[in-house]
Order: sequence, then C-alpha cells, then structure tokens
Amino acid sequence: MSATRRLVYTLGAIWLVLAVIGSFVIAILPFPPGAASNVAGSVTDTIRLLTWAAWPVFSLTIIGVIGAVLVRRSDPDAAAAPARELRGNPRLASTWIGVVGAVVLALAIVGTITLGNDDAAQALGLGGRTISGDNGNVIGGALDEGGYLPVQVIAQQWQFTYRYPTLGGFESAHLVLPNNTNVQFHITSLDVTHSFWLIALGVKGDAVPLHDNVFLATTQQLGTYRSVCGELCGLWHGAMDDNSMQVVSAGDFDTWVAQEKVLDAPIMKYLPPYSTTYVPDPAAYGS
Amino acid sequence: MTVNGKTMSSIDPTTAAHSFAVPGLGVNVPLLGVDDNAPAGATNTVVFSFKVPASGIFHWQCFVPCAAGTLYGLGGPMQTLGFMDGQIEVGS
Repeated sequence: MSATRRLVYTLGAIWLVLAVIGSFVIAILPFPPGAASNVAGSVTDTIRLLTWAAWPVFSLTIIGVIGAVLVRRSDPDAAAAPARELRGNPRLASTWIGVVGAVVLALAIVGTITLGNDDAAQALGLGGRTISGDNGNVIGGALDEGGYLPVQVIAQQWQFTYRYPTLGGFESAHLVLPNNTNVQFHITSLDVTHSFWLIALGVKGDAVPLHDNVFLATTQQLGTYRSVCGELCGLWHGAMDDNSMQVVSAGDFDTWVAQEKVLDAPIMKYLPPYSTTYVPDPAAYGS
Repeated sequence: MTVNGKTMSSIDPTTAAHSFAVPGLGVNVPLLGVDDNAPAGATNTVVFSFKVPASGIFHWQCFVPCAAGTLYGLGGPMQTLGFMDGQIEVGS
C-alpha cells in the first residue's frame, strides 16, 4: 500500500469518527432559539437538522484540505496528477451540475409552495405568520373563537405596548403571557415600520402602520424573555429592547390581569376602542 | 402628580401637549397643555416624583406627536436629540 493511499484511509477513518461524534454532539447541543414556543421549537429543529446534515460535508471538506496539504508536502508532484484527471471530465461535471441543480430546484419548488401557502405551518401546528388567520373576532372570554388568546402589539417610536382585547381591552407597557396557551399576536404600528421580535419564542413580525400582521404561537416554557425591535425605526431604535417579557402560569397570569385592570381603570375611558389598526391624529392633542 | 398645585392621577389625552416618559423606569407623565385662550407666556407646572431602582443611563422622550407640520407630528423636534428626547444619567 502506497503512503498516499494509507494517508487517505487514515483521514477517511478520522472523518468517519468525526462525523459520528459530531452527529451525536449536534443532537444534544442547545441550539437557539430554544423551545419556549412551538414556533421556536420548529426553528430550533430546522437549525439542528441543517447543521446535522451539513456537518459530515463540512468535516469531509476540512479533512480533504488537510489531506491535500499533507500529500503535497510529502510529494510535491503527487497533487498535480488528480487535478489533471479532474480537469475537463464531462461526466463528472455533468453529474455535479445535475445533482446540485436537482437539489436547488427541489428546494425552490418546496419554498415557493410554502410561501404561496402561508398557512401551511399552522396546518402542521407549527405556528408562524398567517394571512388568512381571523382578525380578532372577539366573542367573549379570554380566548377568541379559534381558541387563541389575542394580544395586540402596538409599536411606536420608540416603545411597544400591548393590548388584550378579550380581557377588557386594557393596555400595558409589559408583555405577559400564560403558559401552554395559543397566542394570536396582532402586530401594528402608529408611526413608522417597526418589527416585533420576541427572540426566544421565535416570533418576528413587521409592525406596519394601518396593517394588522397576525402571528400565531403557542407558549411552552415559563420564563422571562427579551423582545426587541428588528427594523431600524429612527433615533432611539436601540431603546426598543425589553428584557422583561414573561411567560407565567395561568394563575399568575390571572393575577397580573387583575392588577393591570386596577391600574388601568382611571385611564380606560381615554383609550380608543379596540381596533386592528389605529390612525394617529396629532391635531387631537392639546395646544 | 400635581398640576398647578392640584392633585391629578390622569388627564384626558386630548389635553396633553407633551409627555415625559422614561420607558426603562416605568415613568410616563402626561403634561397638560395650556388653555387655548390663556395669555401669552402662560404655563402649567407639573410636579411628580418617582424612585430610581438602579444607576445607569435611561432614555427619556415625549410620546405625544407634538411636532406640528411634520408627518403625523413625529418629525422635527421629535427626531432631534435634546429636544423631545434625551438621556438621563443616574449615578450610584
């Protein structure tokens, strides 16, 4: 057995071990954003799957580069031969182009169908943005007729506020959600375009003036999470960063709602009626 | 808070000319505008207090779109540092 062949076998064995160990490590690594919601869970699973699929290819590439360097160093003429064989090989080239083209085409078709059917994720119970989701047909109780807790996210320069239309329509500067609940976010803006990004829950939706952007997610983990604006929206864009968003137990949520209602009682008469969008009227303010 | 010495807990938002808000501290105080028929130079004095939980730099701003003549009243001074927004530095 030649030294080069022995090296190839050795590197091949190393790659195999790396690929197997890497696959196990990737299976247990805590990838972001986590599993705080069904949307976050599906995002995490996708990242894990793609990393798992890419790792053998990545490690093989690195091993190949290392092998080429070692071969080149041990015998400077050896590396030139395989390169000449590869050059101008129509069968290899057409196979390469054909396989890559088929993979890209298949992914493009799947992606196009998914984009065209924006509610595919909801049909699979994965949550996410929806176009045909109802726009808040409130029928009483905390949940709407679809079994979702509607929460309106109102963006303005430079703060998010949150309104709970099925709980009396009060508005809070803090977002608190009950655990194990289907939440229907209605995201809108009073001024410029913002983006509501609830990182750990995998929720990210543009807040566009005069537009009701609906996003579905199911809470799955208690905790305190961070929400930020994901769209450059002006001078204090960076200030739209809140580390106090909470997912709490049903009992704690009820307690919080009761407290907020008491706090908001003096100003409820001034709040405009709940609407999926609002039109600011600066002329209405005091002199 | 008191407005010209009179205790108030809320005001009609259509009478607010500005607001003094520090989102990071949970402070949001509407500032009552002077009456349209008030003489030139008339002012309202609003007094309020709050406790600062920690040292740091906090962003303050007016949340009432008070920049007349700009889109939705949100341009001009609403977008200029030192006019309707700024920073509060809280020392230790």
